[in-house]
Amino acid sequence: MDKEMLHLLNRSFDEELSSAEQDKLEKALQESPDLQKEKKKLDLLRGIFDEQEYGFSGSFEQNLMTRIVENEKYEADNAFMFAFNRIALPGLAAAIILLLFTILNNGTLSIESIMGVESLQNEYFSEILLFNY
Amino acid sequence: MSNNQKHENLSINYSGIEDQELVEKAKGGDKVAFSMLVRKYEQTVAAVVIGMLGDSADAEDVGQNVFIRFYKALGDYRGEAALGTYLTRIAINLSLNELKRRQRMNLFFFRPAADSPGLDLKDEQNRQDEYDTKQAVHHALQQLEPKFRSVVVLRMLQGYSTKETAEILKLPLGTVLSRLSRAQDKLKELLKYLIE
Repeated sequence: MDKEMLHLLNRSFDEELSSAEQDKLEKALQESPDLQKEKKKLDLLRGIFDEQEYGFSGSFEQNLMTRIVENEKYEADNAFMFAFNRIALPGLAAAIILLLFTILNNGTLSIESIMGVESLQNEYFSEILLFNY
Repeated sequence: MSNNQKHENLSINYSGIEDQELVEKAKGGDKVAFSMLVRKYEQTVAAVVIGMLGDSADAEDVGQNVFIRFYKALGDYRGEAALGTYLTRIAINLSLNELKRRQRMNLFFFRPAADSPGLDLKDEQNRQDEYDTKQAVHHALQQLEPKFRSVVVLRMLQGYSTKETAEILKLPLGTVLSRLSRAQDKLKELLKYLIE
């Protein structure tokens, strides 16, 4: 079988041949029973693939939608925990550091020492007010 | 109905406008609209995924991942490509990723890949007795390397033109034609008892 014609036949299935190539192929097909046989095989092969149908299981759509809903719920829960951790944990760390600082500076952990008014006398309030206003 | 007709009918019976309406509703959180899209394109995605991976639980999982990825990226879909083509592109990419994952697992456990070419084939008579045409096609596809399998799935199973196949796979047209030619030669050999 003419290799050039065989190559042209193969190309004819997936490419647009020029009119000269088409004429050449048609002439070769008329003259060569082997080439006709080869064309028939390729037609059959393409036809077999063309007829195939595929599908997933009957519960595919239902399973998919369930998974989407579950994913959304999981992401919503995760988002809350993510935000909570980002705010609560640093806040807690800051509070602990402040308390440690207070203990180190004042040697005690009373309300007055935390608020910084432990050694404040009454007359200091009037000075603070006059200074600020 | 041939795959070519199937591929065309999707755009005739379910026009782009209708798909776009469903997509807009799905973007707004309408799950019914999204499930209608799933129903429309399930077969399209199944053909690609099962063609690439074989009919297995993994294939169904990947099929679901295709739609989940689409769901998460709904906001990015603007209708520039037909929805079927868009989903096919995702399906091919996820299928190729799955095949790479399987190859890595097989290397790690020193197992011969189930979908690698070069496995011993049973003699033709036994295969003819054991398999119907669908299974034969299925088995033949799995004997192709992934790069050849992808062009066969898109061109011969799904009915995309060679130009569309090249666009989906982001390959030069010449590469697609060359791979199709080599894949066809191999398929002729694998399925010769069906076509002679």
